[in-house]
Amino acid sequence: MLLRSMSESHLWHSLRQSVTTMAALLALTVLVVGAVFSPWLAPTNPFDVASLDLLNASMPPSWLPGGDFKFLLGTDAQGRDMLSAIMFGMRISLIVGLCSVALAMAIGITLGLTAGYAGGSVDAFIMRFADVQLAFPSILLALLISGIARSTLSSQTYQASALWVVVLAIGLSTWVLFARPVRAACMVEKTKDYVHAARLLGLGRVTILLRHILPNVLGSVLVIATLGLGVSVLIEASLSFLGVGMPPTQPSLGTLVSSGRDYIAAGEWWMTLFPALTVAVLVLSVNLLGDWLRDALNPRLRLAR
Amino acid sequence: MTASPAGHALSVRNLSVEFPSGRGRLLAIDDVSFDVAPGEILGLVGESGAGKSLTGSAIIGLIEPPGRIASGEILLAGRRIDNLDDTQMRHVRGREIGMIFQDPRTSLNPLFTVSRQLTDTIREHRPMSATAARQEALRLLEMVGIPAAAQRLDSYPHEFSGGMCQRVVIALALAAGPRLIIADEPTTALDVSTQAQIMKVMKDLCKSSGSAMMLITHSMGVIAALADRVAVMYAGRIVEIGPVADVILHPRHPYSKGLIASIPSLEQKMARFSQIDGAMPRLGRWPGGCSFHPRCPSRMDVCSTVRPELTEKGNAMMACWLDAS
Amino acid sequence: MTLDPAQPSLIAVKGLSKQFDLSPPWWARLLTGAQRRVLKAVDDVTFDIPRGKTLGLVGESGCGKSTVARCVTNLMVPTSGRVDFNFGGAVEPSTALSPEGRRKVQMIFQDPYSSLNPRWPISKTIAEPLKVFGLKTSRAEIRDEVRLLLETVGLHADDAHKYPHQFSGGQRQRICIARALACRSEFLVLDEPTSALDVSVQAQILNVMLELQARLHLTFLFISHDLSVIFQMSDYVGVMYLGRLVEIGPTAEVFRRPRHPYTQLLLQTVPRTNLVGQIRAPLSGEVPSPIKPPGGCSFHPRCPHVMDVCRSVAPKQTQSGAELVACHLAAG
Repeated sequence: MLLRSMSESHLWHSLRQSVTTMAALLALTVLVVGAVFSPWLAPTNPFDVASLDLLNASMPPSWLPGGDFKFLLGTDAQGRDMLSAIMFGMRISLIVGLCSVALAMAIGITLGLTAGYAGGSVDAFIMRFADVQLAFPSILLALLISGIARSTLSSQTYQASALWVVVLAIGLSTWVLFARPVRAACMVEKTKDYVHAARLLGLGRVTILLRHILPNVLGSVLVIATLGLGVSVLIEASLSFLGVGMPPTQPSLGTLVSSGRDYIAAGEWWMTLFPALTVAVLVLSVNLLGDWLRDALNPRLRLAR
Repeated sequence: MTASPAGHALSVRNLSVEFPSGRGRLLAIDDVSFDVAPGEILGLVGESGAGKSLTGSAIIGLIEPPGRIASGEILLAGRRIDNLDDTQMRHVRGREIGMIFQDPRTSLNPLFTVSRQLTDTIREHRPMSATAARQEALRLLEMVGIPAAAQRLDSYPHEFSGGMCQRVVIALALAAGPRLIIADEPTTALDVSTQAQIMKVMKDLCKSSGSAMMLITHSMGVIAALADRVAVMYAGRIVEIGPVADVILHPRHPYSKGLIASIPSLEQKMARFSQIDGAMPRLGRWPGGCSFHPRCPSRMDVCSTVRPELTEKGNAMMACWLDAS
Repeated sequence: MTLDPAQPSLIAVKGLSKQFDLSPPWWARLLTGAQRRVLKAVDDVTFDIPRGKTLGLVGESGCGKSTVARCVTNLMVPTSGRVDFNFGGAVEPSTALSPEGRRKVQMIFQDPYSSLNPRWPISKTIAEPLKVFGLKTSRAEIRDEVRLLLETVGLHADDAHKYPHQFSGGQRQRICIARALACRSEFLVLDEPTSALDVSVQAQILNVMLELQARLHLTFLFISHDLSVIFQMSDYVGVMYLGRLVEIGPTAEVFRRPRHPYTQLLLQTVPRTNLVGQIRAPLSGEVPSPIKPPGGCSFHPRCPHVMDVCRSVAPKQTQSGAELVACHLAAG
């Protein structure tokens, strides 16, 4: 819907102008393809305990003495292939990131539209709530939620639902990211005459919000969603690193960094470095794309051509 | 128009402004020439997109990139200014060319008092002591008709009404005693009764100081009240230029005719408004020949193929094939 | 008094007032001792419009004419006063309009760039009222009606699939008119409908409106700051100053012999193309802030005929010929 009304050739043209953005897009494509198709592309299945061999444990990357070309990026303390673990971990990181962005978007857009359109005390209440939320580090909130889940759920249920607990924690701590700009955009749109014209037809508030205002604020949401994906992946990694995110049985990139941490002192740095680098490249390329999207969609910059 | 530019405050010779685009270069101003004598007010009138504001920007050297002057010369009192570099141009602006824009509130810095803004401008261009500059600022404010100027010298712009702000902007434009004032829609943002007061101030000051003025506006009423001569622009070209009384009361170019006829009259009620069909074509879609020909009620075959040039017709000049022979 | 006793009024506005509370919240007033600040945007405005006629409302920015428009169309709730419609059946107050009545009251806005949903093709915009009010139901009927409406306002029916940004300002204003016509409206509020347009395009749009009014017997409330447009378009004219209606009457009458000094001032200062080289600025001073209007008659600080009574007593509307004038001069 959003892309239809603007010329796609313009987007493509502006994309090709920026070398950085092209590089980011390339990096992101490689990472996402690797993650999505990891069951088929990965050299081994890191979750298949039967295939693990402790004799292969803690092998350095293949280009170092003692390395084996079978394990390009080395192995961990259990003899798991790091490359495969990273590909599977990235898959989990991306699932968590996308789901939590979707959740944050749903909450943020709903509350933002409500606050922006209703105004007055409803607006004040929602936005003060958002202020409190902002003053509260999102990691702390996520820690709280996953802590509660951990203590209330049995360890088996927790293991099974860990992913959704993390999604909930991240979604609940990042919705403000969406609510504020959506509220601002909604406040601008609701004073425009096409909304007045819709009111003259006797349309209800919800109809006007969904039919007229929402499509017009989605442009700004798209950009935040991209940047929000980077934030979510980062929070997930932090949570997992702190041991309250994904459990070692379903390791995400953060879990991998965390479990490799103990071996750094022993000189086995590859167990931490490669997952950490992957997080960095993933988040960086997502953010670069988000920045580009923001500039490309900015109507003022577009008019200047 | 005389050939020698020396006696003119401003001479624009064959000015063209272009914008590079995906489809090649788009000419937004196409071969425009005119002069303004000292103390004279030249009105530049036309509908949005005609290129009147762009002509003003070209003269003060502030065309938004990627637009640029493609050809032609701009002479200020006989000196070329279109090829000056940024530093030299900055000196010309303010010192030799004063500017008045549509919205007085955005032309003033809200953080500084009126006296600070005036004295800064005065001392930038004319070396004098702070006290002398303050005296000068006071004199300027009184000149533009601000009541109790002495008490209001240290006010901030937000303490002034729209009309008073525009007076301050005029005072700023006059601060350095410029040869030329460029006023772009100076009264459009003001109410009718304030508009008349501002017009009076502008006209009186122009006549008494001998500064030339280029008045850019879409309002024929403002042109009629203020200007000595008027140039009617359409699609980047001047289609008719001459003394106000001739052009406004007896327009000869079909576009000027249509434009003036479509102004609702206050004298007698009409059953229907006289209108020009269609709209001005967008930049880059200008038709060949005379660019007005698709909308012209009296077009001939020649109009769609050959572009008419400005030629003398009585007191005025116009670019039209009608009674050209 | 009604403007034309022989004609039934389609709309009657009585004692309409709208105030905006600009004061800080109560706790801040308590803490800082700040005063309440109330902006009287519209103050006790009464008028009616005979069916099929146009009332022009004219005044400078901030005089409250747009607020009147918004109260009349129910986009704003008035602080006091009432607006009654009579479409031939029972009298309906604007606050309790039936869907049928609501359909008949539509508005054309000033800014053609914000009055159309930018993400909708214009066919969808024009079809919306048809669907909402159930005027046309089948897809084919709706499509044909949209094409017909576009042609009625002078656009190509084939442009129906285009988006607003593909049209010029004048064309967009035509689309807005088509949307209002799609409602089969009987009463149109035109809030500065041409002030964003170039003068040659303005003439086109005003002609479209005149034609439609004659053909469909529409009633207009035409709001503008442009005296000449008001003079040409309206049968009756009301002049507003700082939220009050200072003079109202038949257009020819008001323009030929303005009775209120403010109307006289407006008519004197408007630039005219037939008066080359003349600037008539008989009065200094500007419109005061509507938050702190002068006491008595709010025009008295600028009035050339000011008397003592003007400073203390606000003049009531009095009949003067075919007009109503709120001025002590006319009363005395």
